[in-house]
Formats: sequence, structure tokens, C-alpha cells
Amino acid sequence: MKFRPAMGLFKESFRQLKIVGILGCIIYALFGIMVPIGANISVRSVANNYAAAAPQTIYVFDVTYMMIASAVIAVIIVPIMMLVAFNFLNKRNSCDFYHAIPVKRLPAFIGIIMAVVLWTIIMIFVETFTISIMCGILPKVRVECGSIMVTAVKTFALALFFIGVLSAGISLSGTLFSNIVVSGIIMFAPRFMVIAVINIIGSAAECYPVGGIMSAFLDRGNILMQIVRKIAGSGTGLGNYSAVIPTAIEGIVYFIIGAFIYVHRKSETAQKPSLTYGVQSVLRMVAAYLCSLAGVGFLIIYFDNAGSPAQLFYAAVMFVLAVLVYIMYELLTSHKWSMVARSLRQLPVLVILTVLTFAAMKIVVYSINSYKIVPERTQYVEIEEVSSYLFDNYDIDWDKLDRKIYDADCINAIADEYNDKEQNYYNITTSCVVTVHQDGHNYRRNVNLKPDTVSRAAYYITKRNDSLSGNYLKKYTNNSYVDLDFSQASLESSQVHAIYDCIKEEIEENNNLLDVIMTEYSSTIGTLYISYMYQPDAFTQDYQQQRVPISYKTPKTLDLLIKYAKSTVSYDEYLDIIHDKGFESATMSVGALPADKAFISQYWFDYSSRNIDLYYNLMKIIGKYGKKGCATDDNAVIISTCAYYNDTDSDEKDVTLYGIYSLSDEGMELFMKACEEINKSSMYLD
Amino acid sequence: MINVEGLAKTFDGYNAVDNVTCSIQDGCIYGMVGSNGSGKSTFLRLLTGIYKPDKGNVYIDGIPVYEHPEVKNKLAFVPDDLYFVNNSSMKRMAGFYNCVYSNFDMDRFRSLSETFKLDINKSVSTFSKGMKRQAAIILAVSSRPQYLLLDETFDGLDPVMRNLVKNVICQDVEENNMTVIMTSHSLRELEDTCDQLALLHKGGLVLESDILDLKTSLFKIQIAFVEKYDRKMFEGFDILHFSKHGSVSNIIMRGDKEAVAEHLRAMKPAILDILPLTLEEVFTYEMETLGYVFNSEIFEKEDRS
Repeated sequence: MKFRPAMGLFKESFRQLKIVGILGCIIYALFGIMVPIGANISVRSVANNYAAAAPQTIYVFDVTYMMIASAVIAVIIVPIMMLVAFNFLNKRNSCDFYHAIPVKRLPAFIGIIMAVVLWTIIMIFVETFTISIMCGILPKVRVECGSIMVTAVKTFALALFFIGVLSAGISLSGTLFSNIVVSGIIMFAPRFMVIAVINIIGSAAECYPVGGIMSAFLDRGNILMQIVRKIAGSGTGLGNYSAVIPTAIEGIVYFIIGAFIYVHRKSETAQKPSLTYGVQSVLRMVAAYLCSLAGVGFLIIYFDNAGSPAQLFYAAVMFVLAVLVYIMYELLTSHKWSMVARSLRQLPVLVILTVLTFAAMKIVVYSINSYKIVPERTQYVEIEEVSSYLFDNYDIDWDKLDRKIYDADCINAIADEYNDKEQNYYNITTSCVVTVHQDGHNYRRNVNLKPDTVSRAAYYITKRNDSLSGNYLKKYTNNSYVDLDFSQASLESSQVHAIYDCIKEEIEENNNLLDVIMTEYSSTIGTLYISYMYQPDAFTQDYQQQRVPISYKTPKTLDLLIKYAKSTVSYDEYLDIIHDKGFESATMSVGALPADKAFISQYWFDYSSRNIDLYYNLMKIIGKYGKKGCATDDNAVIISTCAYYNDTDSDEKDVTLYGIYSLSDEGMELFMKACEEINKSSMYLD
Repeated sequence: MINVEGLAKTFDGYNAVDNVTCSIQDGCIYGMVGSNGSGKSTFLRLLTGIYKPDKGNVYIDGIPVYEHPEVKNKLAFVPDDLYFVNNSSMKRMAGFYNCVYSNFDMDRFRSLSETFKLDINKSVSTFSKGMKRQAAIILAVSSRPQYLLLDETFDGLDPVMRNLVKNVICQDVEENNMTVIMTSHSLRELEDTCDQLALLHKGGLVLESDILDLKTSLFKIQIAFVEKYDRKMFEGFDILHFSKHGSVSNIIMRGDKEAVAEHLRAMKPAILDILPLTLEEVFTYEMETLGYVFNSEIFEKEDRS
């Protein structure tokens, strides 16, 4: 069988679509002319107001909004073209005419589709051409060739999607109203069902990560969904190109389905709601099932999350709505009460489907929730996604790393924190997505990990990957901007740079860059932020920032930091102030530096604190058992604190105290106990 | 040649065409008559390849029609419910036909349009019902089909236009050996034009015959004798219908008219008239012999068991 489209029908359809096509070209041309003019006027006014500051201001088209506007036009015009081109299928006389002419059905179908595609290409070309010309003429507006071509490709992919969906919808139905309804069902129902099921499972089984799957269906998988979410105010995926090919492929798949149905469609389907009563039943069922699925969702959440009676009410409302949709669908498409009455005989099928869906989802949710990580049977745990600064590093491409963790201690820690979810409820945790390879199967789960576990995992991963060259700090040249975050200390710029130079030297000496970068938060005393500007292209400036924690791992730098951070009071003076009736409040960071017991804790306390004596006691221990020391001492502890008090003039003043002290063994023991007591009873700062 | 073998088509359980078998020779004008809902239009649509048969098949020159464009190119169909592209003129429709029919003759189209005095540049939607039918026939005939299928051909045409259409069709049949199949619910319309007639009833082909045969093989005899007589006197004759009022009998007889007339004269009747039958009457009596009772235009098969 020859698959050449019928050229005669192609020409005829192209002529028939002339009015819609020309109208579309005019709209696209107007868009292409008026938007750049508007942008030029807007930028001119800005430039006039800030002539000295921004004489060279140029507006670079935001591809995102260009895409929305051009896609919205495609969303309206392409479906209209399809409905016009295939309108002959909705009337007996025209349908008979087209089936009588000497053209095979498949070539006829392809010929008509080609006419729609050609008009779409013409419209997109008109838009691209006019925008390019206008941006070339107008002085204050610029559009990047790459981005405009991408927009054209995305619009075309979206148009292909609509062409495919409507070709299937129109082939399945025989009236204009049912063309639109069936196409809408094809377009949204499968996606809605999947998203609804994922959402329900994600709500009832919170440990199951649905984000990636949702993203695939909402943002990455389809341009239309990207636009809908952008218009609704959520979603950021419109700028990415990942949805172009899936959207086009989806459209082509629907087109193939539509072609198959068209070839086998009977001419007598014209003026009927759908091909056969069976197809009508399925479509009616799908429309109603969407509502009952929502009801199932409310029920699942009610039973699994111990929800409120309101959810039972919502579920009941959705089930009633499902029945209404079921009846209204038949009534609006067939216009016959007799058909409505006939359709009611199949209503029990909807009930059974709903019950089965509820049962299936309960089983799935139970299966997910009952899963436990068994470390002894776990081969590895792979960290997929984690919202932690430790994994947010410009210089490490985490996507290229092997993120599997084989370390038994790390796996045990992850397992404990997953299996006993309640323990993490009140603790500060970091959410992660992990894949657990257990008993030869992969289990993907959400898990909230404690900061130390996260840093342990990050450290382990980076250690395993030899490919990391550790070139991080080399690109941060002397022209980089360096900032320091350390308590209330305010250092001079030269001092901050000196600390930066010291840490670079120390890291090179010890060859422990990764170690330093991956320092857990609980051991970080101060943080260097190194920023530098770069230009990805001639018109854009951006900056990157690298954070370098200062901790017990960088003792020289730590000593230098404390040296520069000048205390404003002596140790004894500080003790007097916090016991004085003029004392208001204080922030304190205190911790141990030896690697085997390194920690840093931050506290806040005021004059009304019940445990102010604990702080006083801690300070006394340091004073009694310690002397000025350095970070490498065996029992080194560090303190940085700032206290606020009212002096005799009733003016609020502040004092700072920084120091590294070396304690005796006895003093160290007492120090650790004192910190423990404070931890049990104090307020935490951060 | 058109061959129809065991053709059947059902719509929602209703047998629109039920096991029809027939052959239509090239160059003939084949008329199909039947009451409303008898299946004429469905039969034509099956012949044209619009409907796919549920059973059986339609062959034109040995090739099935459905989904065979090379066969459909030889066909032109003018349905009862006409279709023209929205707001198109005859010229535009001719362009469409020209794109899809390889034999479309634009010169003939223009010539026929002049003959029928139709403005080819005017929108067809402004035409009257009759003018639309003329336009459709012109377009169909201009496709130079070998097989022309016409459904309710003369619906909406005035007597002058009817004759014109008949002349055009007959001219093509004579010059190009075109085969015409036309349907109507009125025998009178088909009587003058067709040379073959078929009767469809409830989807089935009830009767099919040459018109000349039909007209000449049956005749009405009005006969009277001085002496008493009854039907037995006419034993040996092929009688379809016998009625006697007084001494005059009306007999519908089949056979060779001359031979029958000679035989009857030999019986020395007081009155002897041999009258031709109208096609309607022929059909009526033929149907009676098949067991159908004629009641207005509704035929019901009489249960003679």
C-alpha cells in the first residue's frame, strides 16, 4: 500500500483552511510587531530616566513569555484548523462525499493533516520573521537567534501534539461537540489520572518520592502542562527544552492512533457521538471516573492519614459528581433521554472500577508504608536528591558522581533514621531521596536525615569518586570577593584575605580539600564565602560563590581567625557582665576542637533564663581549667560570644569574647558534661 | 460490469440491505425502485464504496470497490442529500473534482454549465434545490465516469430540466457505453429512461427484469362471450390475474401477445381488447405472483400457508 498523501485533498484542504490560516498569520504578525515595539518604548523610558547610568540598556526578550503567547495562539488556532479540516466527518452528506471520491482513506487523512501542518509552519515562520525583523530595526530590543528558534521549535512541537490529539478525538466521534469533548478527554484524562494517582500515593505514603515522577508528567514531559502551570503561577520548567521531544512524540503517537481509527471508521458514524456504543460507553466511563478518582483520593487520605470528616464529605461530593458527569456526558453527546436510560445499566461498572481502584491504592500505600530498610540485606544506598548545602556546590557535578554508599555505618545510620521516622520529627533534618538496593530490588524513598548523616554521606561519596580533581579554589583568583561569616566579628578586608590565603595554604599542605568543603555544620565555626564574577556570554554577568568552612580540620586558619577576632573584654569581665543586673542577653558559640569529639553548639540566653547558671558554670570551667591555647592542642575548646547589657547610663552596649583555650583532661571532661547539661535544657540558636 | 454477490449491510440491528445478488451490464441504464426505507440509497452507497459491506462484496470489472481508488475513479455518485464545500462556487467544486478525478473534463464542465445556464462563479449556496441538483449532475458527468450512480435523480427538477438531464445521460450511455444506475420511489420517473428495472423491498432484491420484457410480456385482456363462461375456459394460458364483472372479464396474462391474441380470436369472443399495462400495473401483478399484496405503496408478503 502506498502511503503518499493524496495531493488533491492536500491542496483542497489547504484552500479550505485559508481563512483560519490567514487569520492566524495576521495574529502572529501583530504579536511579532507589537511586542517588540512595546518593549522598545518601555526600555527607552527607562534609559531616559537613567540616561547616565544606563545609556546602553537593551531589552533581551524573555523566551518564556514569548513562548506562552505564541503557544496560546497555537492552542487556539491549531485545534480550530483541525476542526474545520475534518468537519466533513460530522455530517452524512459531506462524509459520504469524501468517502466516495477516489482516494484511499489513509492518504486522504495524511493529506488533510499535511495541510494543517503547513499552515502551522507558515504561521510560526511569520511570527519568527516579524519578531526578527522588528528586533533588527528597533534599537533597544534584541532577541537571541538561538532562543527564537527554540521557541519556534517548541511551538511546532506543541502544535504537533494538538494535531495528534484532535486527529484521534475527531476520528473517534461524529459531532462537533463530541469532537471537542473527546479530544479534551484524550488530552487530559490519561495525564490527570496518573497525576492524581501519584498525588494520592504521595499524600498517603509520604515516604514515597513522587516529585520526579510528577515533574516528568507536569514539566519535563509536556509543553502544554508547562504552560498551564506557568499561567497558574507555579512551575519553572518552561525554559527548559526537555519537553520538546516528548511532546512531539506524544502528538505523533496520537496521530498514528487517529489514522488507524480514521481508516477503519464507518461513514455512518457521522452525526453520532462516537464510533460505536462501546466506544461511547468507554468515553463516558472515563469522564466519570476522573471524578470518582478524586473521591477515592479523599477516602485514601482520610483512612491513612486519619483525616477529618470533611474529607469524607468531599469524597461523597466527588462520587455524586461522578454520577452527574456520567449522565450529563451521555445527554450532551447523544441528546437522547433513551440513551441516558440505557447508559444507566452500565453505572455499576463505574462503581466496581471505583472500588477496585480504592482497594488497589490501599494495597500499594500499605506496601510502601510497611517497607523497612534492613541494613544486613542492603547492598548499597544511593543518594539521589538532597536539599543540603553540602550537595550544592558549583564545582562538583553531582550528576556525574557515583552516589552509591556501601559503607556499613552510613547505611545503618540511614536505615535507623528511615525506619524510625518519629524520632526525626522534632529534630532538624534534611530531606533526601534515596534508592535502597535491598535483596536485589531497588526501593526509592524519601528520608529525613540528620545533618551529620548527610555530611557523612557527602564525604563518603566524594571520597569514592576519584574523578574529582579538587580544583575548586584555583579559579577563585585574587580578584575574587571574599566574605567571612563568624559570630559578631567584624574583620578588615585584608584580614579576611589573609584568612583566605591561610586556608588555601593549609588545604594544599594537608591535601584535604574535600574534607574541608564537606565539613558538617555541627563542626563549622566560621565560613568563608568566596565569590567571583564571570560572563557566560557578551551580554550577561553572573557570579558564583564557594563556601569554605573553617573548623577543627583547618587549625591554622582557626587560630588566625581567633587572633584577628579581637575580644572587647577580658574573660573575667565577661563573667561579671553576665552576672550583672544590667545584663540583657547573649549569643554564644562554644565547642570542642579535637577531631574525635569535635562539635560546635550555639546558644542564646538572657537574664531571665532559668539556666543562666549553667552558662556561668561552663565559663568558670574554662577559666579554671584552661589557658590560652591553639586549635591543635589536645583538649582545645573554642568560644565566641557576644553579650548585651545596660551600663550605668542605661545605654545598651555589647561586648565580644573570642578565644581558643586548652583544657586539662579533667577540665575537658567537665566541659563536655556542662555542654551536655546545657543542651538538655537550653534554647538552641539555629 | 458490476457484480454484486450476497451483499448485506446492517445499521444498529436493522438490515438495510439483505443478501442482494445481481449483475449490471455495461452500457445499460439500471433503475431501482422501492418504497421508503427499502435500501436503495444504502445499496448505491455500497456500490460507490462509501459503506463497507457487512457481508458479500461489490465488484466492478472484477475488482472490489471499497478502498480501491482505481475503481472509484470510474464511478461518479450524485446522492439524494447533496454536498458542496462551504461557500464554494461550481468552478471551485470543479477544481476539487479535477484534483481527485483523473478524467475530469473541464471543457465539458463549462459546456454543460452553459447548457444548463448555471453561473459557475456564483456560490452554490445561493442556488435553488433544482439548480443544486443540476450542478451536482454536471460535476458528476464531467468526471467522465464509466459508472454513474444517481439517487433520486430528478428530485427538484422541473420537466424541462428532467428532459435535459435524461438527454445528457442517454448521450453518454450511447457514446461512451456509460452504465447508469438510478433510484427512485416513482416508477413513472424511471419508465422512460431505464432499460433494466429492479425492485427493492426491506433490503432485498425482489424483482429484476428488462423493462421491455416487463412491458411486452404482460398485457391486459378484456374479453366477453355471449354464452356463459368461467376461468376454466382459459386453461393453458399463463394468467396472473382474473376478474369477471358480468359477462366481461379482465385478465392479466403473460406470454407472446400475438400468439395469445390469435388463440383468443379463435374462441370467437363477443368482445376482445388487448391493452398494454403501465409499468406500475406490471409491477403490481408481478408482485402479486410473488406473494406480495399491494396496498398503496406498502408491500406485504401474503402468508399463503
